[in-house]
Amino acid sequence: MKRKVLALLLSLLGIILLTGVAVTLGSAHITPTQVYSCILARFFPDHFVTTDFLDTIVWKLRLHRVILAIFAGMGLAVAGAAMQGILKNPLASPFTLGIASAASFGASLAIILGAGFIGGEYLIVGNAFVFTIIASLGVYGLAKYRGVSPETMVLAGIAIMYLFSAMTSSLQYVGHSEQVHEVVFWMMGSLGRSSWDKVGIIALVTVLCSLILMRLSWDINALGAGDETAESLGVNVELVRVSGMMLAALITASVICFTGTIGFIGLVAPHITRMVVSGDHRFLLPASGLFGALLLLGADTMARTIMAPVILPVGIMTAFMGVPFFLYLFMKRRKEFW
Amino acid sequence: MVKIAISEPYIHTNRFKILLFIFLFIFLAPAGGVPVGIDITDEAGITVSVPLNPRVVCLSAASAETVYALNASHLIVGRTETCTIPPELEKIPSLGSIAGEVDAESILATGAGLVISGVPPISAETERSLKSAGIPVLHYNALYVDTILPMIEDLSLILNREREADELKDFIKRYQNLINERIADISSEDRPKVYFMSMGDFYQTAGSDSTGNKRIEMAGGYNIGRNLTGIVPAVDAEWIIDKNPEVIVYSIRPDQYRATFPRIEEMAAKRDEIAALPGFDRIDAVKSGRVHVIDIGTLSGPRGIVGLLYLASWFYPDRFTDVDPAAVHEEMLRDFYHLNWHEPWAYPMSQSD
Repeated sequence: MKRKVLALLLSLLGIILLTGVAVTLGSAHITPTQVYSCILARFFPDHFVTTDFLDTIVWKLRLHRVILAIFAGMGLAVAGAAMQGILKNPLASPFTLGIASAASFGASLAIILGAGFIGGEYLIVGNAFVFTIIASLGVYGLAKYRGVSPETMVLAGIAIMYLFSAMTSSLQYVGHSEQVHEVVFWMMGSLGRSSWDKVGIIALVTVLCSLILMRLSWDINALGAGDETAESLGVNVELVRVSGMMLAALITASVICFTGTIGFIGLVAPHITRMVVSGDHRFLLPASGLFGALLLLGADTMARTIMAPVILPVGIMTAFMGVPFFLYLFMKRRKEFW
Repeated sequence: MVKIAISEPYIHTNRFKILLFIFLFIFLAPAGGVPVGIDITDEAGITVSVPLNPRVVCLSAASAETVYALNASHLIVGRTETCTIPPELEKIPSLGSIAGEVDAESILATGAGLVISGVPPISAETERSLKSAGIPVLHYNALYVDTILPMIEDLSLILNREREADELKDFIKRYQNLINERIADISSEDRPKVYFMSMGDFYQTAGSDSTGNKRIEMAGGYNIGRNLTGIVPAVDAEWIIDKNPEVIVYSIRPDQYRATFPRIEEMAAKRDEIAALPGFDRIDAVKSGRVHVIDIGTLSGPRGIVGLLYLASWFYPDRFTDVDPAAVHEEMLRDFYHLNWHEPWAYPMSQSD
């Protein structure tokens, strides 16, 4: 118990420290003191000074990106942890369930054919969101046809992933080279399209859905003991499974429609967390969220600074940072953790 | 009668000999040292033997435009969807939307004796099949003037259009020299800082190895992304604001406008979007209205000289007051493309617009 609380507190502290560092790093030549003075001037205008230039860099460009990384990382990790718990499958994640490839297809449709559900600025976002929801319903529908066993759900997800990947490839085949470039860029994921509005939407959806999922965490624990046992404990198995999956899908959709498909966090952040705080979802969900936030914030800060002013796709950095750590924990634990 | 009796077989033998001679001439002449092909070294540095006056498949707008400008468009038997200028080219069967998706069979079916590839290139697989079928493939990206002139030269030799090629080359060189003369004395510190928005994306720019970088340099600008690694690096908005470019150039791509050319409203909308990007109101280029949008097609191929002229006139409005790139473009379209077009390809064309 102590260890679990400690892990939660350490992750939280890590996020606070990293946020403090991340806001001072960037391509513009400003000092950390100037950055903090600029942030504090917003709250205590009498005591701290700022300039127009600092306001532009910090408030219009840097700060919302840092906060977006926190909430997007949190959302993807919580969604992944919930999916793994509900489906009792270590391979479940927005990627393996076809949700991310559906989002990519929706975005490609907007980029290459200019077709979508909502016009204007939110064409790509709207498409990615709608297709994410369609894929989630598809996975569920396919599995429901034969009863929602976790294995069928993952298999259905993989089938859907292949279908959407094939459709994205066929769109790329007819697109201009510049459009294909844009699709590839979208699929690698980026926090560069961040803005305060988007942070607001992602934070709201992530926090609300995560809180509901945490209320379901005891039921998700019960699912782990088998459907029959869960039912004998008074859990409405199908309701928990469906509502849990839909909440996880909603979080994923709201994050990746703005950021593009940032892989790996949804799959691996929960696993790394599980090694530390064990599989109790009452701790696993919040801890995964915090760890996911830490991982994405770290990866995006690296992506922004390592080759500055060139920004690397954040999806590449999450894999570079997360995989070695993941493998290290595997080697160290040496036992079955799942 | 006797004469006839004798001459009949004589005539027959002669006829046979004449026919035999003609046949031999047709089939053996090529092998007998009469030139039928020419060795051409393309932009990729590969030397291939190419037949003279062949039927041609053009897989890039630059090559199709050049063949047309050389008055040899009747030899084009296949193209890609990207070859639309002049619109007459659209009568030629299209073999695919871009070069990469054109397959060897559809090229072979046209009976072409030469394939010209550009950017994006033909697929390696298709190129292999064509080579094994004995059809030469030439590669010309022709993305900036120094590579356009050799392409025109090579194609003129293959198509026997040296006079037309000289006219086209002279036209291009005339304006290239004009730009060079007018910017030669400007030291690198005095060159305007330019931010180039590549591929129709606000935050992707022209890195050290890019053609965008080369074009800016040739037009006398100082590309703020000149030292960035990669061809189309994605950059941090903070950096652009920090560098504070004096001129911003946005290249609009064909899928971002409806017609064969971008309309003023479409380009003006892009310009407004750029001005509204977070923090861009601080950038000198935005403050002074020096944000220009140009059709990406006007930057490469033979018309690339027009693009270069636009860039130079935007970088040095004072030095190019007497040069109207739009008029040069119209002249070029009229003389070499037989088009009486007065469309905008850039916006704003000059600072006073």
